[in-house]
Amino acid sequence: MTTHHDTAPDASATDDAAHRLTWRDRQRLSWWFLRFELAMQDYPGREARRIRRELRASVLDDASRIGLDAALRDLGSPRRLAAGYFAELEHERPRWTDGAVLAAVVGVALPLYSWLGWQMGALDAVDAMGGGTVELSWFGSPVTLTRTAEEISMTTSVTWGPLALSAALALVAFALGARVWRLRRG
Amino acid sequence: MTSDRDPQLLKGVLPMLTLAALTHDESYGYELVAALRAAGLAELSTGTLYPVLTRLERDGLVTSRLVASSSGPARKYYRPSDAGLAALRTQRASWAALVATADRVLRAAAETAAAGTAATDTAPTAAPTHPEGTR
Repeated sequence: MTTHHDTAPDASATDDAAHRLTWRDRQRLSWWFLRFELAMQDYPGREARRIRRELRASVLDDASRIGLDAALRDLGSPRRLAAGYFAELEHERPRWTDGAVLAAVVGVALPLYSWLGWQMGALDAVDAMGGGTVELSWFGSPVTLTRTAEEISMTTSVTWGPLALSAALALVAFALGARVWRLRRG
Repeated sequence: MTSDRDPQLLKGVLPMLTLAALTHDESYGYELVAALRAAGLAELSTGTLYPVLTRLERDGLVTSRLVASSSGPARKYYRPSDAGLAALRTQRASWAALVATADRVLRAAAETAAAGTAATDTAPTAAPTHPEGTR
């Protein structure tokens, strides 16, 4: 069997074909492939690069006969095509990108939002009680809030409590988002 | 003719049909799509076939070679490998057995439906009467 490396389309010939497209079509093609690459992020790396190279050569070849519009329409949406490639894999693979996004949301953005929201609420409460300085605690971290006519301030020091909680949330979110149990079958 | 076909049916048989189409002559992606469309798979698109070709190549069922093209990048031509031809023979036998089974089941279902229709046609049209207290 011919190896994959031997059958990779020559990049320079592909670039020449791309340069025959109009500027607008080149942008559309680049945009389409950017979306395809995003959808293929968790596909095995070397294989994904080979597929992308071959697909680009095929699209340009098809476009020379039927036009770029028809060639892209025939391929369908980048996400759907990527799903087609994923479906042809032997096993379902972990989705590391999904895991990273979910971990960032649940382990970083959500605690940060909660922390800021809690402090703003506490400042309002201090103001409603006539102002002044209060010392509170947020998951074990000391917080000093001052709300007077002259000053609004929040002072805190980060302790292991909130960091450990965020890390635990991020870890669980990453594991669930990435579907790590698929590794057992991979 | 084909617009109402269940896409899952096509998905199941496409690798076999691709191998079968390649036994005539080596071919590249778009040409293969055109050939299969002409054979009756009007709904087939390059977006459906390209992942299948990738898998067939990864599984060693087809081999490929690049052929220079004057119109653009080199085209990748596929042909079945010996393993692909052997797989096609096995799949053809499995397909024939499946078609025979499906045909038997569908014929039995059609006969049952026909018998039911005949029984309905010959049944008395008057509504059955029920003596008081038996309902």
